[in-house]
Amino acid sequence: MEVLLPIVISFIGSALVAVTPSEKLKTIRILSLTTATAGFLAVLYLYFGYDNTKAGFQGVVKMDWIKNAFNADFHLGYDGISLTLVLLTGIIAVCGVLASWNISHRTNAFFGFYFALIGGVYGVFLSLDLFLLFVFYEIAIVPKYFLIAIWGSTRREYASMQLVIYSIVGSAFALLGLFAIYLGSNHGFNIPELITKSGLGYELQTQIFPFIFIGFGILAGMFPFHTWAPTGHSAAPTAASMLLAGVVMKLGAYGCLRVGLGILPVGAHYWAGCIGWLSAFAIVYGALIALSQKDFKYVIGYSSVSHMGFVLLGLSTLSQMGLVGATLQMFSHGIIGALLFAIVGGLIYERTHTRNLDTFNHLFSRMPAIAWLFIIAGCASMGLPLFSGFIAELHIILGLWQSTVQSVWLVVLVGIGIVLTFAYTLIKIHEAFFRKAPVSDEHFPKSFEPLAWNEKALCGILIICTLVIGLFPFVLTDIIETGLRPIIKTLEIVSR
Amino acid sequence: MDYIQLVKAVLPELMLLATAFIAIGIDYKFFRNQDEKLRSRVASNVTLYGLVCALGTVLIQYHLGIELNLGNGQVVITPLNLMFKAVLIGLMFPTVVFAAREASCEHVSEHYAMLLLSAIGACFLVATDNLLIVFVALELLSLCLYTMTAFYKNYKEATEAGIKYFLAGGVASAFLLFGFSYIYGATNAIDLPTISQRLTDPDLPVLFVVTGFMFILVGMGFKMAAVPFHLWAPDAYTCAPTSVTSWIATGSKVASFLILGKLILPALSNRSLSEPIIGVLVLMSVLSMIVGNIGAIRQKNLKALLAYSSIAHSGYLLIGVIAGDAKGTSAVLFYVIIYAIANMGAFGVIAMLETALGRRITLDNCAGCWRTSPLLAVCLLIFILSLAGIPPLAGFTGKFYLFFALVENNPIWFNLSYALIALAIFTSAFALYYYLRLLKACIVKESPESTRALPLSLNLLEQSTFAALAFATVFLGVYPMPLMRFLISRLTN
Repeated sequence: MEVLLPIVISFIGSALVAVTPSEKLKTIRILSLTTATAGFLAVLYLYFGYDNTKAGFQGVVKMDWIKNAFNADFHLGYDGISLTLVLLTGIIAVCGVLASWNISHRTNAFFGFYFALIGGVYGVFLSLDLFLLFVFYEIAIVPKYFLIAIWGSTRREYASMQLVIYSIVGSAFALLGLFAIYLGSNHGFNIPELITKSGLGYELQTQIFPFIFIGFGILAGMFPFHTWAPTGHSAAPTAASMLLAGVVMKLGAYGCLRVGLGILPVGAHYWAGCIGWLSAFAIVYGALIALSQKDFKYVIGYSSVSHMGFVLLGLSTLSQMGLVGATLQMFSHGIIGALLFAIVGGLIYERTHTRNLDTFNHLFSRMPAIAWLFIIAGCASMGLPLFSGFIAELHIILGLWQSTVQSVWLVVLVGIGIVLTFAYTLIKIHEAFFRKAPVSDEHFPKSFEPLAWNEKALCGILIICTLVIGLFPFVLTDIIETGLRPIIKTLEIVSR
Repeated sequence: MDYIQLVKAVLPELMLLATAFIAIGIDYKFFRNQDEKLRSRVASNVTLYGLVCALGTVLIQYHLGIELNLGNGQVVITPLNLMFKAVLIGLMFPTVVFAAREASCEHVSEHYAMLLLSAIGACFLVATDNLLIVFVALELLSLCLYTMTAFYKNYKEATEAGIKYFLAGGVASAFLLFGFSYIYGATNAIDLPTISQRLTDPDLPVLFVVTGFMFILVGMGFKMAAVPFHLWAPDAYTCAPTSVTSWIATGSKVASFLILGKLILPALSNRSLSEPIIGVLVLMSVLSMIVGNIGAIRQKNLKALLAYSSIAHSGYLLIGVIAGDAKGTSAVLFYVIIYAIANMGAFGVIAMLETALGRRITLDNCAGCWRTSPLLAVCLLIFILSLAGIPPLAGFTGKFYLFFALVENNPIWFNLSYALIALAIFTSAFALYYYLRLLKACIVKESPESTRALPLSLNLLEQSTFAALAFATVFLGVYPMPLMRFLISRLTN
């Protein structure tokens, strides 16, 4: 039953926070931090209880839920992939609370929606029933709307609506695919059974794969359905953009991996080339657009699109190495993306009250600590050794070389993408911190406020996480490999 | 006919009727010249007691397992019918609670009596297999609704809406009766079991029967507010007193869909009949989904917005009818109950806000509602998201089941039924746009007026009504099994 813990804790926390009167700020904050930490500890408990020698799902809970009408069970469990992602969710949840420590407008509602979202995300990663997965997936959509629409910044109403409509249209595609999967095989919505023996024919798989992949891919920022991501990220309050970049985009990628590749291996094989090109293009395209942005948050937003391109590219290789890389990149980008958003949207914006890079005038001397943090985060984002991004991208590129379904030219394209990533990161670091502003009508103080404890804690946690994975990747790669085993197996059978 | 049996069967309706008389009588005898608020309170309390008694009786009948068939299908008591009676009386309960808060004209007790009469009509409607009783009960229900729509005599638009509703409804009833006469002509029977038996007859005059069913669909399409027979709905919904709107949108719709299921289902088992009928149903469903959802986007008035949304919902519900089997019908009934609960709640919230602000609620003037009454805001969130079909609320489970029931019958990938549910799924995805706009107006926006608006204090009865509706919406979404199982098992045997 321990698999239920993170989900239940989050939803109970959500309800408790929501009913606390909004004047009691301190109670709300402490309650939120406790909920997030408790969720994270529950996830750690799952992690240390995971038996790495066995493949397949562990800690399975299965109860009858809906019978007669259609069969859906209340079926939860976790393998290495889910574990990696719930671990990420736990970390981001705690950091998100730290990042929104100073929210004083309708605080109870903010954290109410926040934990509803977190609970939904945990649920998606832990569900072993497609119907249940879909339920949690949709639970995670609506709170985002309110988080952005109420507490967001520029163009929040437009951005929040765009984001929700994109997500819901995506899930509509996915839902059609789910109907077809259910009716095409006789295993109901049971994910483990569907992965090992779906019994779906060639025609059906190739036809419904686009539905599933586009459906989930929209939330993963898949090109050309990525336009919600930069707008949404920039409009969202700091904690929400951390969650969006950190975990919500991973929901989509997870769906693509679990349902797309896992249940429809033949379809995946058929469409892999197409996805490969789209993702490689997204990497280059995202980086190019990031290069030309003047709004600091948009830069990070487009870099997210570029990095998520790596995830989808890794998935499209259909090889062991590539899939490990993709999963690792989900974790890595979750941490690094959240860190970048925390620094840009939280630390810097709260001090300068502008995100326009043209007005940033020698910020390094005014906020040296934050500048250093951003430089570290930038290095992690560029994929330098020591950081988790390096390991993940290395895996993906190696997977791409090994892949039998992808063209070698993709590697060239990815190479260009990586160079561009270096370019925009370094240029933006220069523009933000080291140059005289072209438009310097803003009068910044000589030095900004120093870092508060919550800001230090949040950046510390995230940087340590990316370093740990960068230095000791086996902490995750081991469990990811066992988790991927059944999926790899069916993919191998298909490719023969 | 055994009169003891008859009384046993229609005891709840008799109670409602008695309550109607008592409410009027007490009002006229003792409170004729009193303050309207007091009169309203007394009359609503009497009505609520009557409803509780009737509901209790229905539940006792259900518990005793009474099954009766009187007068050759004129009054039929089965567990399914009893459950629907309970649902309808249960839906009348919040209607009366909301009505009690609304400003009333001098005809206080008549208003409640009308509500009760329409409930009686609805109860008879669900508990009969006889076409004539169907017609009479439907007329009783509808006539009360026409009257109540135009209840505020000095409100011109309401009178206009009432007249429109009445004229269109009258014509629709004529179509319905005409259709019934065709069916009678073809099968020589007016009770549904015999009719469904004779419809399988090989030498049935197919064209004749199909024509009859087309007329029936016109009539029912009007009652359900399905496109192209929906034009009365936005007007009537907007201009009627909000409590009446909530009953039009829920109670009458529940009863109509149950009766539609009963009428159409026999015809769909005969292939030569089912093709044209399904064709028309598909057309109505597609048009309803498109027109309803597009229409709702343009609306500013909350009641008009929900009116269009209910047109769209008729389209979704028709999908289950198109499935054409017991499972499809069970999906329709499951969803119509869920829809009714959520819609009742949503209209209730609007009724409360209207009385607090003293004017029509539009997207612009309900801002800051979350501050003045957080409970209502949370309830509205639940009801609207359920209508939008967001899990874990009941609306999602219901819609999923509806769509599933259709494709399960035709599981070939992307044939017509997949195309139909694809349309349904995508239109309901786009519908989230206007539902969120509504929620944005109430929950997101900070109003400059919010400091001026009176804090809305609900009494205990209102609070518990909203709590019960919200609880039902969540509960049926999280644990839909018992109701689903009940409906399926009752419909299959």
